[in-house]
Amino acid sequence: MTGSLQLVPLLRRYGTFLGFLLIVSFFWSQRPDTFMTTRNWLNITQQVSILCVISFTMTLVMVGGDFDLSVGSMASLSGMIAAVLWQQEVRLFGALGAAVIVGAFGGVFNGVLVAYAGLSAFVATLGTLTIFSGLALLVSDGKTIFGRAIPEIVGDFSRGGIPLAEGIQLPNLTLIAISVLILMGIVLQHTVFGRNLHAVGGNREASLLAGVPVARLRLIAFAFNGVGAAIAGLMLVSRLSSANPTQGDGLMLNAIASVFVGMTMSEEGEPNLFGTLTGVLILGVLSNGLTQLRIDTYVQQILTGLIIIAAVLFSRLSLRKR
Amino acid sequence: MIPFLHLNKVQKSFGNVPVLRGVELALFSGEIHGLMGENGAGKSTLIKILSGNLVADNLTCTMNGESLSLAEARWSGKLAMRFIHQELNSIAHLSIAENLMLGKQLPTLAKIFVDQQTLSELTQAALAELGITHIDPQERMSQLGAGDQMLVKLGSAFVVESGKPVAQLYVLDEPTASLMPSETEKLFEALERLKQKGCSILYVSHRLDEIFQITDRISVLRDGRNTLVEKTKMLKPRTVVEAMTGRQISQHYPGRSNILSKEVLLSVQHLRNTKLKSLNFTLHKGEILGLAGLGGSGRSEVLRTLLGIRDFSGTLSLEGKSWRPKLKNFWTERLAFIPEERRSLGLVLNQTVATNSHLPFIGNFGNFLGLLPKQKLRQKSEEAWSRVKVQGTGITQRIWQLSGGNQQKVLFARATWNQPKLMLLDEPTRGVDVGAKQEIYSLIRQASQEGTAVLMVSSELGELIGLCDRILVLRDGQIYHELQTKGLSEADLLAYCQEVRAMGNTE
Repeated sequence: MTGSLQLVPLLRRYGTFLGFLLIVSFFWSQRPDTFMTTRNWLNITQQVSILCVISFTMTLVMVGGDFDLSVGSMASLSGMIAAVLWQQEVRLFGALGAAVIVGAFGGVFNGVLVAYAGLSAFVATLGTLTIFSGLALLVSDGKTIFGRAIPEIVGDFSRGGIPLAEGIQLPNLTLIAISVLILMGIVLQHTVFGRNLHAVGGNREASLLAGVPVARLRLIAFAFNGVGAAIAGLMLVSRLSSANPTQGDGLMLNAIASVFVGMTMSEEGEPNLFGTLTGVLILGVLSNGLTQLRIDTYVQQILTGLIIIAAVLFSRLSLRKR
Repeated sequence: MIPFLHLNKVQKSFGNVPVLRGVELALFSGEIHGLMGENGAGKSTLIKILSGNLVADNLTCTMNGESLSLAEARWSGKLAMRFIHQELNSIAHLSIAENLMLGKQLPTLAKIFVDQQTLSELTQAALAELGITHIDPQERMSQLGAGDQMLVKLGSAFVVESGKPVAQLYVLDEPTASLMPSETEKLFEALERLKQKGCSILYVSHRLDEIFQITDRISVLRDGRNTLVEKTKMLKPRTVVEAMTGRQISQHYPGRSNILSKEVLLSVQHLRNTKLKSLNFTLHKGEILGLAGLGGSGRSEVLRTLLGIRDFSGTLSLEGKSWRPKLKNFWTERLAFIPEERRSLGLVLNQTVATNSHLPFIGNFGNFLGLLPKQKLRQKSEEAWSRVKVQGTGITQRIWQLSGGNQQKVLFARATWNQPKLMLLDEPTRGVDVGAKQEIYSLIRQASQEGTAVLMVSSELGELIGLCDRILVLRDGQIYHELQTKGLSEADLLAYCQEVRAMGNTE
């Protein structure tokens, strides 16, 4: 009796991770030659790196008790802006900087609407989702920018990396994701801002009465997320060597899904980076593995949705009764 | 006499921690049974087992001598129960009638449409059981004050549903926590009527006076065991307290052992806003000033204004300097506040004890990058923790795992973190057990002797008299009496409050 009682919280906490391992071992058994190789795993990390960046900053916003639907279209917009500027012969870093600044502004705009004007995060970011999306179409005139307009170095960046061994390298995009992970980890765990943000997410009213600058913290979290979305958008341009006004749109749902899956892995059901990383990897491994099994991407999508629901459902079912 | 419901050998553990270790509870028809015990004694667990929210590891159950399982008794309808919990969880934007019928079958027309007429009648009938006639069932819940909302919640236990068995057992968990004396009286009258009808009532409360006023029999739990089961008239309050705490409480209110400073800390002149009408008072350094009055008299409003979350006009000065309270500077100006609603306004429940105790202060710890020196923070939290004597596993424990009394002590750890000049306390011992109360009184006294001025709102008249140097009695946002507590009896103070109520009714 006591044995099973102790098993339940363990299962609840690590069930999602266990599920991840199960998925990995399934693909390993199906594709023993190609799946469990260093090369494939580095490949997976590169494939998920973009989603990683956006999910990590999304974790920040969700720790503070909000969420942000506009990140996908912000990623599209920032990538588009960089590409359009490059087309206008603006220098490499000038365009990159402009894209990131647009991301920061977009994030602050979200933050003002949610934290200061008091709109619900859902309504406000649904609105900005549409605005950013429209802006992306406007600046690009609805066209895709590719080929010579995108500086060669941009495309090369995503193919480059730090050589680890003969023919194997740690991709640059993966490095960016790791840097963002470390940075967000420090911010969430070791700064006044991060600790206070946890309190705000736990109980906004109580934090307010304790003198915590609740609105400012929420705004900063949104700003981080805007910048994260912009960086992800640029990474996407690098990876595809092209920019179109809707290419980042799908990131939003996957980012929120990753954070949700990750939330099942903390004691109190809070968003946490390790959980988010696991969530992202589950999505990444599924996509990679299913592609290797030559399963249709439409089916992949259905499976992904089912797995997200299963993870959250499972953690709810085994939730301790208070 | 055979008990109506008899639970015996009730055992329940959470993980490896036993909470109930073989408890007996015998409830008789036509009797009010008081259940007492400190927080963590197992009262809530026992009630949850009764309601079916928890399943006991072991228990035997008989109803009128016939043995059956508790689940069977509930589902078969043989045991019809009504529960009233202490937490106010009403839905503000629904009507009073809808709140009252929450979770029950609404009366319908043609099985589809809500029958508003019958709904109103049902509501009125239920409220009439409580002697309430001044509440319109069609009004929104948000229109009512806290006391009236609680009465509505109580009323929901008296709704007669068609086709459902009439309840024979009423379980009330701290129902009077936010009621004023006159409202409490109404509740007691209703309980008396239920008792006359032959119902059985299980009444859980921390308040000894109430328990002795209305119960016929008292059970006391301590550490998951019965330490006392006896007819009320055979008992003295002291015996019950000793059974609850396992120790003899010598002095309930720690007295002042220093001489009160003449130095004025806070002076309030012509303080006015929508709820307050020209208040004037001063608070001396180290003084404990009580605010008494009915719910809605403006007691808590005074605290909220000083907290800086209400507009006002008037002159405030702190330490002789003109002062405009602002919430964002509140804690850094070495002022402290403990709200009435501990769980919703005080604590971040999913966080640790440490986080909750240093919440307002971690901004002071960050370096220029905003990075936190964890070691130093931990050390300060440990100090705060040991200062208030929280019973728990340590500062990294999640706060929802603590009992109410210990949670409140964590709020005191926060409030006394940096030797504040002024502490604002709103119902500082609400929902706290006797032992923890005693310790909280000591903390308040200690802070005041170290020079902290305390402005305290409480509905427990005894604690106002026992702790405060002076008491202001408020009504309609005005100060009606200023009382010295020396020689003041609870009955006197009650009379001042009642007089206020009587005048209010004639207007």
